[in-house]
This record gives sequence, C-alpha cells and structure tokens, in this order.
Amino acid sequence: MHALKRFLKTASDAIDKFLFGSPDVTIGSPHIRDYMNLKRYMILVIIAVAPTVIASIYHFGWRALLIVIISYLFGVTTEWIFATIRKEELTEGAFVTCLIYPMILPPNIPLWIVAVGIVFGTIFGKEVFGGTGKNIFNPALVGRLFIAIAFPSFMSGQWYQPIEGTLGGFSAYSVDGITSATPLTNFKSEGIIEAYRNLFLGKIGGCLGETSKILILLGGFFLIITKISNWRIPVVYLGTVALLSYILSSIFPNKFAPPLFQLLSGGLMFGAMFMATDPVSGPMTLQGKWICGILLGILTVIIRGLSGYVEGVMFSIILMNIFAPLIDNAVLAFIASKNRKNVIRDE
Amino acid sequence: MILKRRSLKNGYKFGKMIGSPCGQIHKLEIPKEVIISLKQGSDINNKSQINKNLFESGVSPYNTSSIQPDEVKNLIINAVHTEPYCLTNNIIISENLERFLIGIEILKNSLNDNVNVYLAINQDDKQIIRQINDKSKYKWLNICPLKAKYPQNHEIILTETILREKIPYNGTIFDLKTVIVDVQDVLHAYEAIIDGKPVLERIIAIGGSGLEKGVFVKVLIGTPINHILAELNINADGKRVIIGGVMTGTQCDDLSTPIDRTTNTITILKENRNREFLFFLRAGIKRGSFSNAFLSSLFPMIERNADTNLNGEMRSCIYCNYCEEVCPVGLMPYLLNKFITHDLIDEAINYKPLSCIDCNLCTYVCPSKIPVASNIKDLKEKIKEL
Repeated sequence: MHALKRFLKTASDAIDKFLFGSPDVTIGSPHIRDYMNLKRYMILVIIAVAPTVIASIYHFGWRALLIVIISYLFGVTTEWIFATIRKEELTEGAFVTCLIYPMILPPNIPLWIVAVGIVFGTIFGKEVFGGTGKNIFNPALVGRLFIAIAFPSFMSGQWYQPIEGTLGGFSAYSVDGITSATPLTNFKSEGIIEAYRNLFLGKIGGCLGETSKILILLGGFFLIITKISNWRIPVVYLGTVALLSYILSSIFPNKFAPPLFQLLSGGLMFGAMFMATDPVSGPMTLQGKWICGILLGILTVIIRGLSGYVEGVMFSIILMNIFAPLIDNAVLAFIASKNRKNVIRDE
Repeated sequence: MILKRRSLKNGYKFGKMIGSPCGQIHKLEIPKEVIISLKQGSDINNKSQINKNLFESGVSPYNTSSIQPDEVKNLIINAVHTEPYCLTNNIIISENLERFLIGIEILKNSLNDNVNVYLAINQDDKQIIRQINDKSKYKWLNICPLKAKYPQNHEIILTETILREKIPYNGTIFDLKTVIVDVQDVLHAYEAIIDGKPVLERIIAIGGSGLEKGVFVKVLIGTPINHILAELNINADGKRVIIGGVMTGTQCDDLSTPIDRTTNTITILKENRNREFLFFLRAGIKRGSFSNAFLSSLFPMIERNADTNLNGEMRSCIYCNYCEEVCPVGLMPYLLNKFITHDLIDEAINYKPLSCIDCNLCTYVCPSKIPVASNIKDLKEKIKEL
C-alpha cells in the first residue's frame, strides 16, 4: 500500500512539474537565467523527429504509430519504476529515447519485441548507470542491438516496400505483401544502385524512420540551427563517409558504394542526425567530437563494405559510445600537458 | 585613428531588454548643506601638478592602482558597455564630448610621455567614433570599435583584445603596464583639473524589468539608494534591487546603502515565483537565449523579458557544451564542475581554473540550471588555500 502510494506520488509530481514551470528563483549572481531548460531541449528533439514519425506512418501504415505508443508506454513505465525505487524525480530523459527507438525498427516487427527492446534498453542502457546524464550508451541503440541479436529472425529480411498511392499509409494499418531487400542489401548482393530520387524521398524498404532522407535532414538542420545538437558530429561524420567512400569506391567499386548512395541509404542519415549527436553518450569535449565524427565515418564505411553486415551505423555508434571516454581522456591529457607548459613558462 | 581589433570570439550578446535605461541624464538636486570646496584650476600640461590634483581629487585609478603613473605604457578608456541595463557610455560621451576629449588629454599628460592611449567603444556608436576621428588634434587617440558582446568590457579581456597580447596565467593587467579608466573617470579628471572640483557626483543607470522605463541620473556619492528611488518615484517593493548589473551585481536588501564611487548601475528586477503552464512549449518571442530555440533569435529588435526565475529545474549535466562555447576565456566549465563535484582539485588545476574571470555566463546559459560559476569560484578559493 505504501509502495503504491509512492509510485503514484512520483507520477503526480512528474506530471505537475512537467506541465508547470519552476517557481524557483536565482540566488546571487547571475540574477537572470537563460530561458532554455532541459524540457525544452528534449521537446525540440521530439519536434525535430516528428516529421520522420509522420513519414513512417505515410510509408508503412498506422501500425507505425502503434509501435511508437507501445515504446512510450513501456519505456516511461520502466523509467517511472526506477525513479520511484531510487526516490528521484521522474525526468524528461525518456521522451527522446522512446521516440528514437521505434524509428529504427522494421515495420512489421511483433509488438511484444518492441516492448522487450525498450525495457531492456532503458534498464541496461541507462538506469543501471544512474539514469539520464550518466549513461554510457545510447539507450535506444542498446535496445535495438539487444533485439537484433536475440530475435534475428524477426529483425532481418523483414523489409517491405512502402505503401503505394497518394494517401499512402494513412489509409492502411500495415504494409503487407512480399518482403523485399533494402537498397544496401541489393548493392551488396547484386551491385544494384537504387534511383537517388527514391532514396531521397523514402520510396524504399527499410526501418520505420530511416527511409525519408529529406525529412531527416530537415529535422537535423533544425536541431543544428537551434544549437540543440552540436554540428560537429553530424557534419564531420557525413563528411568522412562521403570522402572515404569516394576514395574507396573509385578503387574497389564492387565492395564500396559511391558516396551519394552511401549517404542516402540505410540508417546513416538518421543515426548521424539524431543518435550520434546524443550529448551524454558521445564525447564531451569539442575536439573529441571531431575525432568521434571521423572515426564514426571510417567505421561505417568499413563495416558496410567489408563485413558480413550490410549496415554499419548502429555498430559504429555503439562502438564509439564505448570509446568516447577514451577519446575524451586523450584530448584532456593533451590539453593538460599544453596548459602545464604554459603555466611553467608564465611563472 | 581607428584601429581594427577582433572582438571577443565567444561571449554572449544579450540584445535589447525590457526596461533598459534611455533618454537624457536626470540631475538630482544637491542638498544645500553639502558644501563643495572648489580649488583653483591648474594647467593641463604640468605633469606633476596634474598628478597631485588628480590624487587629491580622488580620481581613480591613481589612488587605487599598484602602478606608478610613470610606468604606465598603455591607457585604455573603457566606453564599452555590454551587460543588460548597465550605464550606456555613449549618452555620457555625446553630452560631454569636448570635456571628455580634454579629460583624456589630461590623463595622457599625467602619465609617461610615450603612453599609448586607446578608446574602446561599442562599434554601434558610429556617430561618436566619426566625431572623434574627425578631430585632427586627437590623432594620438586610438579608437577601437568593438562588438557589444558580454563580457568584452572586462578589464582582462579588454586589454588582451586591444593590445593583442596575452596576460600571463593568473596575472593582472598591470603585467602589461596597462591602466583602464572608465568614461566617468575621464570626466572627473576634467573637473578635477579644469574646474578644481573633487569627485563628488556620479552618473548611474537605473533600469530593469521592474521599472516601466529606465533612467540615467546624476547623484551625489553617498546618497542612499532609497533616497534616489523616492526622488524618481520608483517603487521597489517586492522587487529585487541589485547594485551592479544582472550578471555580476550583488543583491541589496538594505536600501539605505549609499552609492559609492564605483557604482555604475542599479538594476531593479521583477521577482518571478509564478509557475507557468506549459512553460517549455512557448514560442518565446521575448525570451532571450544562447541557443536559438526561441523565436527571439529571429526578432532581435523586440525587447526581451528578464526576471529572476530559474526557468527550469536543476538536472544533471548532459554535456551540451553551451558553457564551453560561451566561455570568454576558453575554459571547459562543465569539466571543472565535474571535478569539483567529485572533489578532484589536483586534476582541476591542469585546466587553468584561475583564468576564470567570474563573468557568470556559464551559469547563465546552463540548461540544467547548475550553478557552474559559483562552483568554479569555490574551486579557485580552494586552490588559493593550497
């Protein structure tokens, strides 16, 4: 009974704090504060991803929205339980994760797998490390990686062409019919390069949110212009992929796809704009962000070209999440030694 | 002569604020019982006499600085104003242009013969720059137009910008043989030498969101704040009265505190303890922000709100790098903050915490509402104790 009360209290506190601003005032200087806060920070990411969500409904039917709702339901509940156990506030951190995660799932994935993935991702990607701001990995990617490895039969070979017609998926519940390969698979097995127009507009098979590149770019630019995401990682990442695939595809045209195809296919655009930019799990230093972007680009092109997998974005980002503290340490050690020299010279 | 200098790279431009002081300078009546002892004016070319008179009249910085007049190589007149509601120097200069220029000449004559004189001024004050530049008599005066980015007017940043030299770590502007005076000091020098009048009055700006309209007012040094507010019919009940600007000023609870010789600004801010419905979804046409997440970024001409609300709850650091991008001295405030919360002072020393100039911008921009600047201040004190 007491425990139940505590659960309800956490929820009502969170809703109250969510809907209303803070009554706290500044103490001492500075007496005024920027109007930016973490709620707005998260909400703007959601606004930036929203066009992609709408595009996923347009391409793959209303089931996409159901997947998003399930993700929110289970993700927020997990966060809520952990917040209550830890006697902390329920924070806004889950909102972005629960929207990014369904966007990187195949369209006809069974709904129970969606739930398993988001619960696993929230617990082992975030909560065990201490919650939002202390996580090492991007929780959405942890969930995605877990179900990709645990339930491979549901995750691979389940790609469908988007629904045809002017209304598209707005008039259908889900895609059905014949499974088809994604452009990346087609390139790997048969060397076919999909028409760039289809790649750009999203008339291709793939994960729910990764197909419509134009809307992803729109959302990504919105985040960069509003300074929500740091421009360094997406720009350097995409630039490295373009440059490296230009060089490699002219030497080994059978193994590596040309640059524009690489940029517009698979989850690269979505990953670069919305996942690699996660400030918590990426490197914290500005110089580290440059290094991370370059390494992400190299890893993606190499995994796509040389490994057995057709897609390398997810693995690259997870790997760079692991290396982020190492990159930061190297950058900080460099800065510290430079500073020490200067201080000695000054004295 | 106009010199080109690259303004501060980081920092923050606050934009127009509601209740900023504007218009002419009001003059408060000087009570009759105050007797002003006027001395005889002196020759502006007689160096020893000028120095003696300046000292006796109490013109700063000659009676505060630890440098002898003969040692000074660079004299910088600081007419840059960047903080919201602060005293806008262009009003004072344009009302007293002749006196201002003669004042500069007096200060120049009081120092070493080879002193370089720089006038740092907001680049938007084009009329004043042109007027001074047109006077052939003042060719020796180097005018440096600078961007009005906070904290461009901080003495260390101003010196480094203008002289294009680095001050050694943990050093002061005296390491570069530099003295900075503000516009009022120049006018005080004029009054001290030409009129023989000691430093008695000061022009201050009274502004802030708690007022309908900000004003400039010339007051006697020592006048209590509540007296000034009463004269100007300003009601400060329930509002926050700050001596100084909103970024670095100190809250004043006792309104009988007198104005002293360093007071430039009195800011009266609205206290805002209201909880606003769907706070984070507002378009924010009047909400200034370092990020471009509000409509105010598209409409810089619209006056911005300012109140004391935190505008959010305290959260853990998400490494958004806003503090690093805004820091005028190139520190990594989030990193120092991390070291402080884990009590790793030995580590923190490697990242130059003592070059922090207490501009408080890192606290201002933090979306997680962490008091980064005051944490760094604590760290600096701990390091100095070591």
